[in-house]
Amino acid sequence: MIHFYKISKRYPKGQQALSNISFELKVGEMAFLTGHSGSGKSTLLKLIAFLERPTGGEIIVHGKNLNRLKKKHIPSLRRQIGLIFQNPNLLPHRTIFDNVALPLNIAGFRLRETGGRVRAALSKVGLLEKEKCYPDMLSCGEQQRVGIARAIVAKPPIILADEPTGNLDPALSREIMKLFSEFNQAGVTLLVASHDIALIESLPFRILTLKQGQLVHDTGARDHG
Amino acid sequence: MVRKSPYTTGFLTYLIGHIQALKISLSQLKKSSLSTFITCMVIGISLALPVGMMVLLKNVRVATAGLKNTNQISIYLKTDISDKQRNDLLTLLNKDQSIHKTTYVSPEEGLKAFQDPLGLDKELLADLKENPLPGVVVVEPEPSLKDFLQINQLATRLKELPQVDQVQIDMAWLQRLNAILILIHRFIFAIMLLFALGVLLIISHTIQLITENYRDEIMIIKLLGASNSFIKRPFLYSGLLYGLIGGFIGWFLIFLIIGFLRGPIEQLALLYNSDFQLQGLNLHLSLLLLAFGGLLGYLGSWLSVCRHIKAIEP
Ligand SMILES: Nc1ncnc2c1ncn2[C@@H]1O[C@H](COP(=O)(O)OP(=O)(O)O)[C@@H](O)[C@H]1O
Ligand SMILES: [Mg+2]
Repeated sequence: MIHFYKISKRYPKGQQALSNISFELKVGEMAFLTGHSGSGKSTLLKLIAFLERPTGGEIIVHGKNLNRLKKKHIPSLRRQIGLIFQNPNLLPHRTIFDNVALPLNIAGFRLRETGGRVRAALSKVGLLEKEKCYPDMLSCGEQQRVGIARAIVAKPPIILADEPTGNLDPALSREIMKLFSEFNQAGVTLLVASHDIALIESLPFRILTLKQGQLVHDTGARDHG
Repeated sequence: MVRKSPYTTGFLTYLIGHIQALKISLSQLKKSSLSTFITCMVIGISLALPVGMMVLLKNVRVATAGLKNTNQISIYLKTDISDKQRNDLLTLLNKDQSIHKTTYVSPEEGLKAFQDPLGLDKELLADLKENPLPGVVVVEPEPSLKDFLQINQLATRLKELPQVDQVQIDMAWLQRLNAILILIHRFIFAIMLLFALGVLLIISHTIQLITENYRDEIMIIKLLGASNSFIKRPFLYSGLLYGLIGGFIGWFLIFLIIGFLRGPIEQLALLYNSDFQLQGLNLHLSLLLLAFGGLLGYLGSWLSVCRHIKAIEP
């Protein structure tokens, strides 16, 4: 589903953010991406969603080589990916309901379908009663969960999450991780960046470890259970 | 069991997308209602000025349409021709199909006519040993010759005759008026183009300000996989609405001005024994004005949105 082949990334004015990264994530696989702050986790996720371009190597997402992706096909690539950002990036002037409905509007879902799906997504993150609120009326953790609801509402085949539990307490973090593993069981491919080593090691998923832009450890698929 | 697709298809998607875009655009305009009002006012005035002038010009046309054209050609004869040559000419002219009537004014009559209205001193004229005036034939062309060009052709033909020294077209005042009206019409048209360009710039600038206000939102929506046309749509609607509201304001201003002028103008017409009535914008022109406003609005926002939304890349 996601294939990195000798990927390097150097920012125009920065140092090398990623060097010579190769790995493959199969369809329906779930993996964590870990490493210290500045090790390149966010950069790696951005490359997949075409928010940044690699300076070397090839990435294949959903069978498409991103180096050869035409500009007009970028939106449809992004619609395949549920993106959960480090900072939830909600639209401040729209209600929680409208924020979560955005990916459905963009994809042209039936209006009747929209209401049900938005409420299902909101109830999964436990925020159904907040649907009429505006983002600034919610705590950071709640906003983070709205971001998660927005990423899953259109049921994309790929979910990328950048420190989705950064603003959540341990109990809620565990809850969100459980939610992710449920999506995974439904066939979604997930790549989740997190530096909460204790939490991710307690879960039965593959762990990729980055250090100063290099892939230093890959556990491979771990046994469920 | 066949599951119904969650996606809307074809026209319905299109319609829903547009209704949502229109809603967003309306909320954009409402959020900055004062600046929206000012922008629409400026557009309205810019449209009302040239279109109002057009309407007044049309009224001048209507008012002068009933007036009769009075073209005349004066033929100045050579002074050394015999009476027979002169009479031959007159017979020839009277047979001409393009000529309605001829009147001969002899040099003596000419002198008298010259003398009377000016009240010139008889003695002064007596000093002239010879009458300096030539014989003149005043030609009235057939009324079917309305065109200046046709009259001009006739005059050129008359000038070729051997007895004729000079030919002068007394271009009627109406013709001069028409020429002036054509000039004014052109002038107003040019002004209209300039004002249209102004409206285009105002709208494209306003839309640019809105896109800058929504920069973060545009970025986020792009991250979620929205196509450029999805993002552009609300802004295009905003431009269209600006143009339509501006067009309506322009229409209303013209309506007010016509109402303001109607009384005095009809009184003036009465003094000239005319039942002339001032005409405002008819339905056809009103719709045209609205459509013109809308078109300018759409174009203006399209110009700005195409440049700015491309520039916002995550
Ligand atoms: N937009 C950017 N421009 C320049 N350098 C950047 C940019 N984003 C990240 N970097 C650099 O790239 C490296 C990796 O950053 P990042 O991917 O954000 O790491 P992480 O998410 O693991 O903390 C860091 O050294 C960071 O300073
Ligand atoms: Mg990061």
